[in-house]
Amino acid sequence: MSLSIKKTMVEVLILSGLAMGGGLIVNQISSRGIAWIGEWDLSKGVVTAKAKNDVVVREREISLESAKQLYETHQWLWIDARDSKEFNEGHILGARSYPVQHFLEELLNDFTQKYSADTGIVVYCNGRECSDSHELAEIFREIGYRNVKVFVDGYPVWEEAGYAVEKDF
Amino acid sequence: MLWKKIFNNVWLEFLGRCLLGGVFIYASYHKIAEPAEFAKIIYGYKILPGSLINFLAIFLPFFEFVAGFSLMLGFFPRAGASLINVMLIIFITAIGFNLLRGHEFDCGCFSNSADVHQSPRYLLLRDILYFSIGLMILLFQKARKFCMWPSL
Repeated sequence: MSLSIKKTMVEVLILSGLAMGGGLIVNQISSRGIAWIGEWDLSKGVVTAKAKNDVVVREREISLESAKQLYETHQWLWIDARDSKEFNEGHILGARSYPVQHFLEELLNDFTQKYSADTGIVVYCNGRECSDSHELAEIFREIGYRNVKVFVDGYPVWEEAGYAVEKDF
Repeated sequence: MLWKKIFNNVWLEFLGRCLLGGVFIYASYHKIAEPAEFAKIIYGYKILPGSLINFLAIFLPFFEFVAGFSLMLGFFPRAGASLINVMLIIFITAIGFNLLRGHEFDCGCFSNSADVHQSPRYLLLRDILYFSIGLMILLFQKARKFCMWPSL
C-alpha cells in the first residue's frame, strides 16, 4: 500500500472519530436526542425514534377492534388530526376535523369552548406510520383533557374494514 | 488529455470543494436539529433493520457535517472527499434499489418535510454529479488552493 493511501486512511479515521464524537455528544446533551434503538415494529403501535421529547405514549393506543367498541357506545368525541384536504376526502362518520398543524394557533379556543375537560376523546390520523394523532393527544393532555385515546390504525384501516365513513364531494 | 486538464485545474478543485462542502454542511443541518424526523425518513426507505435506524440517524449527519467542513476549510480534503463519496455510494444504492422495486419514499436529503418530494431519477443524477466532483477532489494531484491542512 502506498504511503499516500495509508496517510489518507489515517485522515479518514481522524475525521470519522470527530464525526462519531460529535454525534455521541450532541445526541446526549440535546433535548431532541433519540434513543439508540427506536420502535420501528408496526405490530407494536405507531413507529417512533423514541426521542427525549417523544409524544408517542403506548398506553393511549387502541387498535381497530377496541376503537369500534368505543365508537358504538356513542360516548366518545372522534377527532381527525389530519389536514382538512384529507378530512374532506373521507373521515370516520361523526369525527371532527382539528388538524394538528393548526391546532395551537387557530383552533385551541374553539375546541376548549365546545368540549369540557371530562370529554372522552379518540384521536386518529393515517395509521401506524403517522404520529399526528399522538401529537394532538399530547396537546389535549397538556390543556387538561385526561381521557384521551389514540386509534393507531387510523382512517385507512377503518375504511378498509367497511365501518361508517363520510366523504365530502 | 482534456479530462486530465480539467481534473488538475486548481481553481476548479477549489470551487468543487466549496460546492460539495457547502452542500453537505447544509444537508446535515436539519438532520442534526431533528434526529427523530430524520430517523423516520430512514425508516421510510424500508431497507435497514429497525435496530440500525437510530444509529444511522445519530451519526450520519455528523459525517456529512465533518466531511463538508473538511472540504471547505481544506482540512484533510482527500479524506473528506473519500467519506463523502462513500456516503454518496450508499445514497445512490439506496435510491436505486427503491427505484427498481417501485417503492415510494421521501429523500430527506435537504429537508425533513414530506412535502419536498423529488423524483428518484433526479436524485440519482444529482448524486452521481456530486460523486464526480468528489472523485475530482480525491484524485487531484497538484498543490491545492486555500488549504488549512492538506494532509498529514
